[in-house]
Amino acid sequence: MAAILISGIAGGLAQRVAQRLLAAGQKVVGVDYREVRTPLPADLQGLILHRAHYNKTVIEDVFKHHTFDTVLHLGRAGNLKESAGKRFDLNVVGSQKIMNLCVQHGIKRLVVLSTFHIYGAHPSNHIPIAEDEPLRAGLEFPQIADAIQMDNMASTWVYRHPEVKTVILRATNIVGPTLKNTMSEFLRLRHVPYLLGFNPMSQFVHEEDMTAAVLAAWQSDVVGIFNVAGTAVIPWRTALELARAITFPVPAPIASVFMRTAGNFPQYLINFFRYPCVITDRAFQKATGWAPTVSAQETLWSTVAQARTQYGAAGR
Amino acid sequence: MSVFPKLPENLQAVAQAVWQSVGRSLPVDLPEDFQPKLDEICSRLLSLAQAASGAHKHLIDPEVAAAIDSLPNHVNEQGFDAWGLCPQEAKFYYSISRHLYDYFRPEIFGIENVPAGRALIVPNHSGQLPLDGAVVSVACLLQARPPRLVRAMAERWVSTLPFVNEMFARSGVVLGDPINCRNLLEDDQAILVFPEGVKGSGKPWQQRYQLQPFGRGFMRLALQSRSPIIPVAVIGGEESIISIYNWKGLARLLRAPYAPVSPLLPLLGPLAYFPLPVKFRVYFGEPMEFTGPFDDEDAIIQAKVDKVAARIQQMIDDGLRARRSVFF
Repeated sequence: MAAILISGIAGGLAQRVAQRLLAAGQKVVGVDYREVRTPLPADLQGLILHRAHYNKTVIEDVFKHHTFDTVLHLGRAGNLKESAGKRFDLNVVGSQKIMNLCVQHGIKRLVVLSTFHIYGAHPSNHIPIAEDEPLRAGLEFPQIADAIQMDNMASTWVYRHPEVKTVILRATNIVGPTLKNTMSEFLRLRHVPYLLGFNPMSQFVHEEDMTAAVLAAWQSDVVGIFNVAGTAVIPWRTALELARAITFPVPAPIASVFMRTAGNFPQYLINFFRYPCVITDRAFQKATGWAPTVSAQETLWSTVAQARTQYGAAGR
Repeated sequence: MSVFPKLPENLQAVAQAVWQSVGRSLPVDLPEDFQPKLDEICSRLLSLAQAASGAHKHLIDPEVAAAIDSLPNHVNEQGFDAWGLCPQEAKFYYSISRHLYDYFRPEIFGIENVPAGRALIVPNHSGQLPLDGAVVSVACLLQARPPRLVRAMAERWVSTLPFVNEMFARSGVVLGDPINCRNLLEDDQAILVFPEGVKGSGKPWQQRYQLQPFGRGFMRLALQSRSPIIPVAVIGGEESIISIYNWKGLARLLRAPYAPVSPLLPLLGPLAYFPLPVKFRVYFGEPMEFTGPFDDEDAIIQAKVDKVAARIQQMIDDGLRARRSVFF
C-alpha cells in the first residue's frame, strides 16, 4: 500500500491530520526539520517519523525508503523565530525540493498549506477576498516574500505538472486546543493587546475544521488554489471577548516600535490588527463539499480554555 | 460599547500590584492610609466606567431601534456581517446621527421613491464632512417604507482613521469598491454612493451646487446588477461648513484628501468647522432604470452617467429656486 507523507509533523495540525489518516487505516510517514515530542500519543502509534530539513538531501532518502502516492506539505515555517534567510531556505528552497521529488516519484496528490497573510491587510481590501486577487502583503512587508513565493511556486505546479494533482490551501488564522502557532499562543496570553482605535473583522478556523479541509482536498480530485475560512467573521475584540482575555489598548506607533525591537510577534502582521483581510472559501466548499462546523465561540474558547483555567479565576 | 476601552474588573488588584512594585519606591511622601484611598479611587472609577458604558443604552433612540429591529437579518450568530455592520451597535451611532439630523431640521421630499429591494442612491456631495451622507442615511432609516439601512461607500482614507473606521463600519459604511458594492447589491441592499467623491465634498464655496465630474463605476454596477438609480438632491450641505480654499500642502501632510480653510477661521478658530444650523432639504427623485451591457465602452457609459448628473443638477436647481432661506 502506498503511504502518505506529511511534512511539518512536529506541528499540531499535521498530527491531527495524521491521526485521522491512521484511524482510517492509511500508512503515514511524517517529516519535520524540528524534533518531534516523543513518546507519541496512543492515536499516533504507527506513524513513521523522519527528521530532515526540506532543503537537504535527507529528504530525498525519505522518498527513496517509502512509496508515496500523496504528499501533504503542511510544514511551512510561519513564525519569525526563524530568520528570514532560514525561512527562505525552508519554505521556498525546501518546498521546491519536495515538489520536485513529487514529480520524480510519481506522486498523484499534493496538498500545500499556504496562508491568507499573503493577501495582506490593506485599507483598500474589499470584502470578501477570493483566490484570484492580488497579493498585497509584499507591498509593505517584504519579510513575507518567502510565503508569497512558496504559494506562487505551488500555483505554477498546477499547470506545469498536471500529473501531480496539486491543491494549495490559503487558510485564515488556524487555532485550536492542540496548536502552538503564533495566533493560538497570542490568544492564550493573559493580557492581549489591541490597536487603539482599530477593531478589524477577523476570521478563525478551528483545527478540526482545518484537518477536515486538508482531508477533503486529499480525497477530492480538484486542483488549484482555494481559500479556507472559518464559520464567522467577527471583529478582533469580539474574538478576544470570546477567548475571555483581558485586553488593553496599544497606540499603533508604540506597537510597531515594540514589534520591531522587543516582541517576537511577526512585524508584518501588525496591519492585520488594523485593516480587514476577510477571505471567502465558497469555491472550496463548492468544489469539495467541505464546510466549517465549529462556531466562532467554540473555536476561540476551546483554543484558550486550558490556559485560562491555569490562570485561575483571575484570568477572567 | 466596544469602541470605548473597557476597564478590567480587577482594577483594584492591578492598581495594588502597580503600587506594590513601583509606587513604594517613588521618592514622594505618601500618607499611611494610602492603600484604602487607592482602593476607593479604583472603585469610584469602576462605577463611573460602568455608568458610562450603561449610559449609551439610554442614548438609544426608540424610533431608531425599532427601525433597525425591523430590518431583514443579514448578520452572523455573533451579530456582524462580513463588512463589520453590527445592527445593535448601529442603533447607538444612528441615535447620535439622529441628533445631527434634527439639528439640520431636514425637509424630505419623495422618500417613497426609495424602493424595498436593491438600489443605488446617488446624491450630490458637499459640505467638507459627510453630513449629507448622515442626513440621507437617517432619512432612509426613519422615513422610508420599509426602513432602509443604506450602505454608504467611503473613501479608502476613512479605513485608516482610528475610531472613525470602527464607528463607520459598525453603522454599515463600507469601502467604496466595485466588488463590495456588487456583493451588497446582489444581497438586495441599498447603496449610498457619491459619484463625485472627494471632488464634490471638498469643493470650495465658489463652486457650490455645481456638480463635479461623476465617476462611471456606479453606472456599470447598476447595469450589471440591474439596480435602479435613485437620484437625490441635497440642498443645504454647501452652507453647513464653508471652505474658501483647499490647502493641498496641509492635506498631504495629514494624508487627507483635502484640507478646507474656513473664512470664519480668524473669528472662531477651530469652531469655524462646527456645522452651521442650516436647513437641509433632500429631494429623492424617481428611480432611473438603465439597460445595456455593463462592460460597454466608456463613452456609452458616460452618456448614461450624464443623464443621471443632468437629472440631479435639475433637481438641485429646482430646490434652490424653491428655497426661501438658508437657515429656515
